[in-house]
Amino acid sequence: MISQDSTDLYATLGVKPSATTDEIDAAYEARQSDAASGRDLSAAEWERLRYAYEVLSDPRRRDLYDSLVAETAPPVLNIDMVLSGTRLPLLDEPQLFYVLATVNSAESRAAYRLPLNLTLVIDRSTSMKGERLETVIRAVSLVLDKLGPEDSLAVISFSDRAEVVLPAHQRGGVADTSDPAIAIARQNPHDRLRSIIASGGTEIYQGLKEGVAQARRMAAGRNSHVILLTDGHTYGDDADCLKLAEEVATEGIDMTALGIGADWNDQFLDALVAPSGGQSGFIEQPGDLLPLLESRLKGLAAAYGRNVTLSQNWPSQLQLRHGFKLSPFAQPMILEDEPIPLGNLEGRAPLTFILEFLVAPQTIPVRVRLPLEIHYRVSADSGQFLTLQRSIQLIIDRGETENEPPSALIDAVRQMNLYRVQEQVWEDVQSGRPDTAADRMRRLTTRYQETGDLRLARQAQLESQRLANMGTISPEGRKVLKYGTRSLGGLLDS
Amino acid sequence: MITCSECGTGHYPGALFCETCGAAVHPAAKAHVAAQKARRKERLVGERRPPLMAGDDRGSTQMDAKTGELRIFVPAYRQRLTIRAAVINVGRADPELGFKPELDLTPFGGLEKGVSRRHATIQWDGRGYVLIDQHSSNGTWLEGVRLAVGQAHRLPPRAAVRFGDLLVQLSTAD
Repeated sequence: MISQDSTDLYATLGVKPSATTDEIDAAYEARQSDAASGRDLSAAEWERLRYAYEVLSDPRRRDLYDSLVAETAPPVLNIDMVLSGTRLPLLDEPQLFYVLATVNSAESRAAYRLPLNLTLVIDRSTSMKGERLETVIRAVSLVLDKLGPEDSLAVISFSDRAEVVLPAHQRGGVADTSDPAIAIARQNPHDRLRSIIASGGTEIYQGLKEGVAQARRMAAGRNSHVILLTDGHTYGDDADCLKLAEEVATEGIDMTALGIGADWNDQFLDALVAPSGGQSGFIEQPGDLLPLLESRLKGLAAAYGRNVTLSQNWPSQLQLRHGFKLSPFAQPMILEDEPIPLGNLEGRAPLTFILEFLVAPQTIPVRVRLPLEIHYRVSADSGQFLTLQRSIQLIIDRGETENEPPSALIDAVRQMNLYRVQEQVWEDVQSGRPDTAADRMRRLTTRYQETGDLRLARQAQLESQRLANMGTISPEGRKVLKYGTRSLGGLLDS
Repeated sequence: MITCSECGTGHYPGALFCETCGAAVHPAAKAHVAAQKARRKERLVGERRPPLMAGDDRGSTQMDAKTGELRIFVPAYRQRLTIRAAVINVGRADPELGFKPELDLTPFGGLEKGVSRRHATIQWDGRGYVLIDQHSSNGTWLEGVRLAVGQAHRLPPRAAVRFGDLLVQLSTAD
């Protein structure tokens, strides 16, 4: 089938912009054999096909074409790539190189503002009793007043069972609705919120299941987001929760998971938000909740691209080893996924991530084309994913290779690396290597002093002593260091 | 292979930081970390010096001889001033309180432009001038960056500084 769009050479040949030379050859041959088997093409169509093949089969002409297309048809989003070096030495051993990628909205475009469909799932287990629950309720009350009349809201509380505090409802609808629960939610939501009483255990799945059910009711035409607030370990239903998280991610419902205090399972909350590329965060003091919720809402209100993913179609010479998202919030990337979820492009903050590649040993000079391909939706209600591709050429040869990595890239790698070293301590502890862990933690103390984060340095020092004496680290220290290192980006002064 | 000088772990060429201990291993990364540390040290030195207030003559006599010259240019009024003092208060004069800053921005529309009475101080610290915002209502901006309250920032030889909405060019000469 020949595309209607005569200017798109890839469409003319029927290949993806990421197609390899072999795929392009194959596609051209397939077209020819189509013609041989009796499908008639007009002379003009033949001409277009031949021209498309000529350009795309020649790497130099193809690169030029790609760059021209990128210039003349500005996409809604742009990708910028900064490399630790564009020219690498020819080595008989593997080497590393880094790419700092920034996805921005094209400035002339306004954010595609869809109403928000917000669902808050609040833990009301016994441990939430007192200040914690009070602060959460106060914060939710304040957030509620910030929603627009088109936005919808649902609030669920859960312990070992779920309760719908406020059913999913449009905030600005008329008060006299046939559903009494919705009428109350509109008239006096604050009283309903204050009726939440802490008691019982923590079964996150109960709350999440009900939250998702409510979110689905108002999902059409809105950007849906589920925020889970918990302070405890869930009771034996981790697998159900993760399955549900996978499921809702495919529906375009995002998830944020916030842990309060020190006794929750950070790995579990990380895994919960991973499928949608959402944020997991640590609320150390109850007072930290409101600013975090507000910043989440601000971001969600103006999403320039939703459900952004990165395709892993790397050239054979390169292997992606690590990835770390730095902005709009810092979060490790899950490389096992294809494509890798990157969350949303929110508000004015760009979506920034750093990738670390291992280059296989090369014996002869080569040019490697490294494509970065992201897919995204303009809004949750558009089923169609848009593709944005940018590629960069990497030269591996015997020439001058004096690469000076830019300082923004160095900072990004530093943050990713510190996060990984800090995670490594936890792995050391869990695999019964407290001495290694203590040594690593001591070195981390120095690293945090270098970045100027004295609070993390003090915590690391404390934990290294704890490791040396007792062979473990405190749950609080673990979270302070993990989430503190993640948000280090804001603290590194340039 | 390259080896981390701190913990001895081997790394692939091209690595910027050590995966075992987090130390910089690439020369560019090492230089980056060192430069950042130096910048911070400089700022900490400034911070430790307590902000001097008007009427407080600590230091002014002993340092007068050594202080450099601060040249001030207010573009909107095409006015040039030169001040030489250990502590230069920047703000608006308040006759009722008997407060008169060394750099009084009242004649340059300071009030309308949101300059606070005690807006900022510029101090000589022996090597050059540092600029400190004194809890001003509308902020002090050095080259477009809003300064954190109470922190000393070294003035480059030429600098565009905004007190509230009033733009002033400062230059230092020895």
